[in-house]
Amino acid sequence: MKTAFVRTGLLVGLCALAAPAAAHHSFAAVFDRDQPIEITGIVTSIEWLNPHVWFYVDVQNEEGEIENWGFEMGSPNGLIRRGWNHNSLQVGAEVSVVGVLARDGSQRAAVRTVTLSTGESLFGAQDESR
Amino acid sequence: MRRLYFAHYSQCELPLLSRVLVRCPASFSLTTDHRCQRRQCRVVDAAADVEGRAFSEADGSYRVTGLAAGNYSVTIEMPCCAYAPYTGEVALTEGQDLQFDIQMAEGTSLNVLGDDPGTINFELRNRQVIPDLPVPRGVDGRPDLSGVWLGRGDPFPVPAEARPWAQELADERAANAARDHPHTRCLPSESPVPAGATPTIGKFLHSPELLVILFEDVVGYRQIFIDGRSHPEVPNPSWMGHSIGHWEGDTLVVDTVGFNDRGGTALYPRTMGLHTTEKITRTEYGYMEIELTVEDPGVFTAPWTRTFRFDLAPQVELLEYVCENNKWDSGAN
Repeated sequence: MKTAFVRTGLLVGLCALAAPAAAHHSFAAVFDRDQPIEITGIVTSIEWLNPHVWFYVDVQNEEGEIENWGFEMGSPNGLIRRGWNHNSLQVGAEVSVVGVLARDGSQRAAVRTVTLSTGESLFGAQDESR
Repeated sequence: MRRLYFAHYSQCELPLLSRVLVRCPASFSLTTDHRCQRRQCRVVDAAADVEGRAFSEADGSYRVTGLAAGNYSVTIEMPCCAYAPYTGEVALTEGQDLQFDIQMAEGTSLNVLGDDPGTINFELRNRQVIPDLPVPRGVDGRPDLSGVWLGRGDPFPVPAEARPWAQELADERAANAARDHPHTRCLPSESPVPAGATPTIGKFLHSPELLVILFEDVVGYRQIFIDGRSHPEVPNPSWMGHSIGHWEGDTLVVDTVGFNDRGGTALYPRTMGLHTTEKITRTEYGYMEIELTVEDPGVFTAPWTRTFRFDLAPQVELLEYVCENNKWDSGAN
């Protein structure tokens, strides 16, 4: 259920002066772009909180054991402006997550895409926050 | 070494590959465009006394012409944080047409969902419906700054020379992904509109005697008194400082002192001697600029200025922001 693949490494840069710091931490500092990961499993909990949304997924590993993985996204405020809302992701939903692994070797990853079992990608909607 | 800056700030298209044509010698045309139709670049060639802006063409390339022969550094500034800034060098001889392709590297946000202010800013801006109206004015006849504004930073910031201790700290932060920067610790960002969440959004509530700026970061508000009062004799040291404003024509000039020494200017630290001047000009119904000058003799050897650009965002509303779920702020990464 868990597949990892390796991509060509890219340079790490820092947007120092052009914009004020906007991510609470540098994702590049705590996650490794050279360790992409794709995981499919069941959502067990969601922390819809600033400055970063986390959700957790039960996934079966190669040995058949259940592991609980944590996934980090941007802020609720940022996600809402990209069409998400508090109900976009539900506990119990089966999701496929593409992201990059934490550098510390923990079962955590930063999220690039989330796809529901229906095939719907939680990314493209254009709703507004009102 | 001469410098070419290319700013992808408007991010109308987000190319991984930028084709830059540098041509020498020919004419150099100037144009202005702030409404996100084309990406812009600025050319600074002090030796040849050339300074101007060029815009990307339909195929994503830039055509920069009229340059003197010589060595140029090419800098591409990207809005934080999906793509990393780029710096390269190019040598140009007389009569030469030179074309080179640039591969942009991923930036610090790693394209994580919901964490790229540049992309979100671009998307929001494209969704706004801006009425075709003149700049509104208040009962005092001055421009009314009220509205929800979507902020973009200065694509071409040129900081003054920093004192050694301050430069050392800024370099350290650049190298360690700003691990000890106040923002990384859930503390307030800096003026004119602090942003904790992404992107930068400020709600300006403006009456003739008071401008209040609400924003999505800790503290949550700035007060700018336009009623003729002075700064307190002993201001309470604070994150946002004490701000008073007066009008110079159609520009609101905001003077701020009373900062604490716990915040920062970009990646640099600041002292309680920090003094800022903001010149706020709403030039169109849907567009405003804030020129922010920072004077902090303990940190910089001279004052320096950035121009922040703001697009009216009538279809956007502020959201609550409390920085409570920051799992990586221990510095243990």
